[in-house]
Amino acid sequence: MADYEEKKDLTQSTLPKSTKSSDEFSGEVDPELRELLFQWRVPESDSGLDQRVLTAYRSQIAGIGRWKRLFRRRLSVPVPVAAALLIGMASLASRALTVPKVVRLEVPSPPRLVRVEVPIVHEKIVTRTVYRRAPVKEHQKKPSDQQVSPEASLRNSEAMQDPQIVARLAGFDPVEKIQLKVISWGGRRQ
Amino acid sequence: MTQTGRSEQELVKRSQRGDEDAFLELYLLYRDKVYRFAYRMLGERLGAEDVTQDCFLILVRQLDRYDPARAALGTYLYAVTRNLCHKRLRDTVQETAHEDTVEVTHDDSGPLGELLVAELSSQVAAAVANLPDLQREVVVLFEFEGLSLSEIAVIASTDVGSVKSRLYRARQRLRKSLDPYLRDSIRLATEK
Repeated sequence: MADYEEKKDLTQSTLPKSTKSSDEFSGEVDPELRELLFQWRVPESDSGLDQRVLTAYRSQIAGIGRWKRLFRRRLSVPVPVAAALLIGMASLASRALTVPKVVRLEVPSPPRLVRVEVPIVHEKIVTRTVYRRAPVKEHQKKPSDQQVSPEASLRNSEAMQDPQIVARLAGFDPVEKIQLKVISWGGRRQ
Repeated sequence: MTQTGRSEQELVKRSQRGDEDAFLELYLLYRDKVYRFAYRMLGERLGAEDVTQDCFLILVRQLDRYDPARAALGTYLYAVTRNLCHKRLRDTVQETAHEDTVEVTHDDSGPLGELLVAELSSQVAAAVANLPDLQREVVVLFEFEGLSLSEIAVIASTDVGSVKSRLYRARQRLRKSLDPYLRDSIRLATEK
């Protein structure tokens, strides 16, 4: 038991617990921990690393140089061709730079449409033909008329072509006042 | 800008123009720093070498992104390395990490001493590897590379407060995981 207590004391005394909080910590060196950490040795890099890096550098520079050469390449152009090119470029540039004259085109405004509503009257004209017997006056009677029987005169008229009417008008006695009733085909009175 | 900064800038410009000697000079100036940082972030030699190579090629290719007024060239290279490491960590499977940490030890204190140092080295490597990426980079840059908190903040694109808190948490975790080794080292120190 005493041995255990001694060990415990040793542990407590040898392990300096950091009583500081992270707020109070100001980045001071912990020598014990640092000494222990430095026991971790880093192996030497491979001897081929330097060569690899150098090779990669050369290829990269060569790659960059290729692009540079592409843009910095020298082209030998004959003087007349160069002059023609320059003149052409200058004319193109002047054309592009000259401000075109502004022409105003007046476009006539389209005619205004006005909608006017006109009432349309639908009319229907109905024509009816009514036949009635006109009264025969005495002085207008001709001797030939007297000889003609009423049946014969009726037979002459168009209305008497109906055999039913002929039958009813057998004892026809005209009235003094005529009340006209027009009856449509549908049976309605008009 | 300091004289060193101006000369470094000149070296980079000459490298861009295809001056191989300038590139080699620049490379030898920062090769070990970049490689060590990449190795401690990734935990594997081949990955660290690839990152080192890519870092210098990016420097030559994208010099216009580097603003000497904002940071020193070393800080810029650390930032590029950091980004490359994070990309690689995302892409590769973690199980391959730290497979070659045992090969690091070369000690002259005999086979037993060599074994002990190898054991300690692998334990420290494992403890650092178990840290979250953001804490690990802070520990590596502060403890191993000796950068200041403000420099680390520039590299990690964060503020000094975040760097402090990450470092604080990382140290706590490391103390916890390396507790037996810390006690041993203290005991050895007191016995001496």
